This record gives sequence, structure tokens and C-alpha cells, in this order.
Amino acid sequence: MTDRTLPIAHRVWAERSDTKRRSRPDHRHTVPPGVLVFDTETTTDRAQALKFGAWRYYRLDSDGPMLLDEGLFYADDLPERDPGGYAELQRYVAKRSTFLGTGRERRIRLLSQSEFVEKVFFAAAYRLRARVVGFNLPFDLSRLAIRASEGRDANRGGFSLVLAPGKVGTPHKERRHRPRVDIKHANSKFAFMSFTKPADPDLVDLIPDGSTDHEPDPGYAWRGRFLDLRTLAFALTGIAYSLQGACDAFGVQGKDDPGSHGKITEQYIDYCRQDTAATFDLYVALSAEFERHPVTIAPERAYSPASMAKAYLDAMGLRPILDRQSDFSPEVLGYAMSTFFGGRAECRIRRVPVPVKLLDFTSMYPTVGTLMDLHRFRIAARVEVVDATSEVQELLERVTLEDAFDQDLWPQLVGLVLIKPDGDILPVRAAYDGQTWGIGVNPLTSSEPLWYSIPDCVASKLLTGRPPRVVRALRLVPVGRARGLRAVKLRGVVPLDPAADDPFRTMVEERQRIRRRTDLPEGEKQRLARALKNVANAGSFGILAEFNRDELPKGKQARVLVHGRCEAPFEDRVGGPEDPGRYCFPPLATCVTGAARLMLALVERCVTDLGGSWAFCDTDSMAIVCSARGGLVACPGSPERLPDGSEAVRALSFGKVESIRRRFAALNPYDEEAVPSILKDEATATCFAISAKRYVLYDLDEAGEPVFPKKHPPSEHGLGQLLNPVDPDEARRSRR
Amino acid sequence: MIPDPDPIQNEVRRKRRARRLPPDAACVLCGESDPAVLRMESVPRSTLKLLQVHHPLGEANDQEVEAVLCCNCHAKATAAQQDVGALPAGRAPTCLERLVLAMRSLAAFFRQLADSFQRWADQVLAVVRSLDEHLPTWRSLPGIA
Repeated sequence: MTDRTLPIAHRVWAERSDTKRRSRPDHRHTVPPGVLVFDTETTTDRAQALKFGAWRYYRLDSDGPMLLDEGLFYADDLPERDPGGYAELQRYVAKRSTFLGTGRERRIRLLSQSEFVEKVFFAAAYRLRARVVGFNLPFDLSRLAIRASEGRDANRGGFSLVLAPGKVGTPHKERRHRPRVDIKHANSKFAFMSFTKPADPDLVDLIPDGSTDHEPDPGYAWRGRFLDLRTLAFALTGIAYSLQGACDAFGVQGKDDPGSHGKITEQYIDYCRQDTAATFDLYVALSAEFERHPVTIAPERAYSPASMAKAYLDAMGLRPILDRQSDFSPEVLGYAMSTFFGGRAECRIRRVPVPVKLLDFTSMYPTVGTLMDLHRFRIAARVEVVDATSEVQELLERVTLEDAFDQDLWPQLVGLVLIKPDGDILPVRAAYDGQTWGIGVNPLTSSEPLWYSIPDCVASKLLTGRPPRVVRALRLVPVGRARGLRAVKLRGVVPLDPAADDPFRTMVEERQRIRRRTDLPEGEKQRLARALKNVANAGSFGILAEFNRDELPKGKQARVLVHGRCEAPFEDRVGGPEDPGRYCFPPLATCVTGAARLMLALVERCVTDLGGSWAFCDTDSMAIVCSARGGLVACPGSPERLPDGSEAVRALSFGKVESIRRRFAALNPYDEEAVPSILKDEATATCFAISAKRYVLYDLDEAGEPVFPKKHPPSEHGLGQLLNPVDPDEARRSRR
Repeated sequence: MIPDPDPIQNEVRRKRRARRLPPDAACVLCGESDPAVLRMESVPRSTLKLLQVHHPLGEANDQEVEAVLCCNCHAKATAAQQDVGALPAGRAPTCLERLVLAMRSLAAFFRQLADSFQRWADQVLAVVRSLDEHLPTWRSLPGIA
């Protein structure tokens, strides 16, 4: 290994100085008067133009949902574009009827697209303020659009859909008292959807929802209730389902056979109607699941497991630290940001198959959060920052591997250290290839002092045997007790009392207990376990490190006051400022990821102390080279030699790996009956890794074909550029 | 062809009327509380009130004293104020003259209120007689005496 001088980069805490922080919208859950469910069928070409669709409207009252109306709609130009298809729709509605919730039989309505938009969509979703429900709803909404433009302001980076044309005889291109629909994709799992404020709204539409004086408010705009079930299912389970997959998971009758897509036939129309019915049934099932959570947000605001975690913290009265303590030092936030790195992902043995055991930590982030007792900061009235230079220096000098296996050490690790790196093994963000920033954990020497989390400094001490040179150290101290803490029941079952216990510890324990319960149906066990896992992971770490990038229009920049590793802030302008999430608190977030790296450093030390090696590590797991009896394994580029002189790596025996695994029992912060071990033996297999996060575990069957461990099937992560975008199973990358 | 009823439009009509009224809205004179009846067809678009505020002392004399009436009762009350000469054009020049107008106005409103009470009394009496005829035991029910 050679020394290289590289530029390094740090993250910073950048406060926007030229915009007011947006007020938090009211996300409280109020029951809508009804639910409009619709689904569209489109052409099969690239344009995916609307052909026809099906819809149902349900009234919601104390007796539950009641079907009030059902119908079909067709693209305005369908009679000319596809007269046969249009005739089929007419024949269908002439002979079919629907049974309404009132007990009456009624013929199915057939409307044109523009009639549907005005008489059903705007009537229900805008004028009546009903909930609009769909699966992959942004797609169906976009099929109703007659025009679209780029989003502006809060919808920057999104689309603004025009659904209603201007009245004939007026110069207006769109209906002035009807809103547009704004859609902005946040990621592959959810999109923000809302109505805009119309140019000339009806006064009744200006009366705020829940208004007490029932007077129009000129500043008010009804933003709609758009619920994408794909998003809600993800928020509740952490799984990105298809409609059929979600129906299967929640015990709902799913899709019909469409016959063939594209041509409008009776079977195809049946299929579309069944999709709409299945979507509504799934809505009922997901709503029932959602209602079991004691949260006050509306289901359309449950974007992800993190949304649920935040809603739980709200329900427990756990206010965000920076909300209750707006005077918290921005300098310390800057120091903390400069120490922030993600999980450690590294590949040690590249392009050589080696036998491994994969050891995996149980709920790594909740576990290290529990060990450090981060809950004391969540329930504190204030979080103070105190100078701890001498005690942290002393701690780093004396700490040993044995000490790190003592749970009493971990609560002392919540803080930041300014060090003068001199060959210390630390995470660093550097341009290793001279072009792109990458993160590595490697020996680091710097002429400038740099901030690190205390756990990273302890990890360095354990890996190098030398304490980092401490310049200054800060420790976080909880002061007092926050008021208004409340006990809740997670999913109506698991009691969580923030005043008595760390709720995330309870969640991890309960998740393991639930797996062994025999009194619950399998589906129920799975759902409850998923809810516990998602809320625990998101709540114990994700929301502490949440930043939302605000992509400004081309050429525009925001002024920011930058707090970084240096004491003095400086002003700058950026095109994509990052706004911190409500629960964002970098000093704790960096300690969580730092502590996870410390855990991996402990495994690494245990392995290397026994003369072993490892193939890769990834955030919460490490693949240790091992075989039944241990010994040398051929591995070009490794330091050991086989009898024939070829290069090799030393494999540990299964017994030695098991002894390492057992050693971590000392760090188990959970009830052992619920969580017997925090370090699990996940798989024994052959490992082939090419770089960080790109590896596969496999065995070869008798025919020499690879067989993959059930818990670790190969993923296509990082292989997107090699796959056919239309048909991933197709060997060619394109259809040409 | 006779169109089918449109359940969504019916819901829209009902809910939008309800949005304009508090849940316990009713006329203080006739007790009408059905939003469909409290609707006003001919008011300008800027006036959304379904129930209206009547000033029993005359708006020019005292804006503080109010009574919430349905549009029918409000129209009758205003006509009664006009009938007794309680609503001159412009504000009366002295407090004594304003007092005269206010008392005239209030007298007209009390007469209307008295008519309402008389009507309600007649209705209640009719109910009592009906009970005596069809349910003679009602007088011995608990809480009646």
C-alpha cells in the first residue's frame, strides 16, 4: 500500500438564509366523505395513451363504505380512433348493470373522458373533497391530462397536469374554476400529488376543511386527498408491492385475466372493472391496517416507514430535538455533519471465490442506539453540549478490545472529537480515482485537525492500537425530562411507553417474540413483525439523518450559511439546498453510523486476532473467510502461501467463527429470551465479490450450477446498465 | 330519455351546503334546519350565508344585537320593521329618535317572536291532545309530572 495525497470532502450544515422555513402543513387525519377509485387502460405503445377506464364511488359513513355509483369512461377521441372499441364499451353498458350499496340495481354509466373529469373526478375529488384512490395513482392521473407543463415553486421538478379545457367561447385554455393536479415524484416509492389553486375558485371551495366560521378564506386552497395504495402498502410493510402482490399479502381477491391488453373486449372491460374493485378492497384492507396504528396523520401522508416512525414519535409526545431546542448550536451541527458517513461497505477479496460465513447483526442501528442509550436524549428537556476533551482523551488511551465488549462503555460514546489524524484508520470521503467522491475506511493523515464521532475514534484505536491525537472533544448530555410523553400501543398490540422504556428496544424484542408466537395467523405475524422492523429502523436512525434536497430552477441559487468542520461559518450559494427533516439531528445520527462501524471493527479485530481474513463487509454484516476445519485457501494477491507457493488467504474454522459470534453476547442489550444473539450466522457459502456492495453468495450443486442461500438471493444492485430496460430477463440490452 | 339520478352530484350538493353551515344551524323563529331549505338561490356570488343575521333593533341603531334567521323569516322580519316605520333611510340624528326606532323595530320583532311562540304552543298542545287520545298512559310516564 502506498501513501497518496488526496483532496477530501466533508458534509456541512447549511442553513438557508434567503427563504423562510415553510410552515408545517396540517396532516391531521379527518375522515373524507367518500372514496373515488379509478383505473385506466392504455394503448400498448410507448405513448400509453388512454383508451378507457373504470371507476367506482363509495360514500363513507358510520356504517362503512357504500357503493353509490360505478361507471366506465373512454378517451375523448376513442370513437374516431377505435370505433370498434367504443362500440364494445356501448354494448357492454347496455347489457351490464351494477348492484349499489343501497340495494338497487343500476346500469353502468358510460362517460367520455371530459365528462368523467368534470362530473365524477372534479365533483368527487375537488368539490366533495373525497379521497382519490388508485394503485400507482400518478400514472392514472396523468392519463386524464389534456396537457402538462413543468412544475413550479414547491412542485419544481414535477409535472402540472391540466385536466379540464377552457370553456368554448372563452380565451382560456383551461377551466378557470378547476384546479390542476401537481405531481412530483420523490423516489420510486412515492410521489407528492395535490390540487393547485384555480384561477377563479368558487367561493364554497374556499371554505377551509374543518372551518368553524364557515366563511370563505381567499388564501385557502383545497389540495386534495390523493392516496396511492402502492405508497401506503410500502409505508406499512417496507415492501414495494405490485397490485397483485399487495392483494395476495392482504388477502384480497386480485386481478382477472385481461385476455390481451390493447384490444377492447368484454373480457378486457371485465378485467378493468375487477382491477377497480380489487383496488377498493385493497384500500379497505390497508385502511384497516393503517387504523391499527395510533397515529394522527392521514393515510395519504404515510409516504414510507419513516413517515410512520415520525407519526409514532409524535403520538408518543417525543418532539424533535431541534423543534424544542431551536437555539442548539449550529456550530456543533456543522461539526457533526462533517463526521457523518454512511454504513461501512468494503470489499477485501476481489474477483476470487472464497468460502465464507456471513455474520449479520440483528437490527444494527436500533441495537447500537440502544447500547448508547440514545433514548435519554429523545426524552430530555434539553440536549447540552459540554467540553470533554480530557476525559475522551483518557478514554481513547485506555480503551481495549475487552472494554468494547462491556456495555457500560457505549453510553460514553455519544459525542464528537477533533483529532489530528496521523495514520489512524478512519472513514474519509476522498476522490480516490481523482474524479468522484467515494467513502473509504483507511489510514488517514491530515495536516488539518478533523472532527470524528467518538465511536469512530474508538474503532481506530482498536484497529491501529494507537489512540488518535485529541485536540478537543464534545459530549452530548441530556438535561431534564420533556413534558407530554404519552404511552401508545404499536399497531394496537405492543405497548410503548417512552417514559419507561426505549421504544425501539421494545420494538426489536417484540419483533423477535412475534416470530415465535403460535396464537397469531402467519400473515398477521408477518405484518406486525414488518411494522416493528420498519418503524424501529426508520425511527432509530433514518429520520435523524433525513435531508430533503430542494432542486432549484436552472440558474437559480439559494444563499446558505455554511457550518462545517471549522468554527467560523461562511456564506455560499447553492443550486440544490438540502432542508433537514423534522427529526433530523446530526450529532446523534453520526454516532449511530459511527457505532455501527465500531461494531464491524470489533468483528474485524476478532477475525484478524485469530489470523483470519474477511471478504467483504456491508453496514451490518461481514463475510468471514472460513471452512469446516480452517486452513489456507487459494487466493491470488493474498499474503500467505500454499505448499505449491501460490498465494492464499487463511480461513478460520467454523468453530472459531462461532466463538467470535458468541463473544458478542456480551453486547446484547435486549432481553435474551426475546433476542438470544445480536450477531447471527446468516449463511455459509462461497463468496464472489467485485467491489463494495457488489457480491454474490452461492454454492454449486452436483451439476455445477449455482444455488443461492434463501436469505441472500443475488440482487441486480449496480447491474442496471447491463439489463434490458423493457424486459430484464431478455439477454439483449435493447429491443433492436 | 329520462336521465338516471346522479348520486355523486347529489352528494356534492348536500355536502357543499353542509360546508356552509355549522352542524346545529337553525332559524331562531321557525326552527328550520334543513340545509336544502336554508339555501338561497338569488344572492350574489359573494354572499354565501345560508342563514342570515337579523338585527332586531335595526342595523342602523344597534349592530350588536343579532338573531340568526332563515331567509324566509329574515324577509318577514325586515318587512315587519318597514311596516312599523323602523327602517328610515339613513341614521336618525339623535339618540332619542334612534331609541324610538329601535323600540318600534323590537316591537315588530317581538310580535313575530310572539307569533312563533304561539305557533309552537299550538303545536305542542296538539301533540298533548293526540297523546291523550292515542296513548292515555303517557301522563304516568317517569319525568312527565
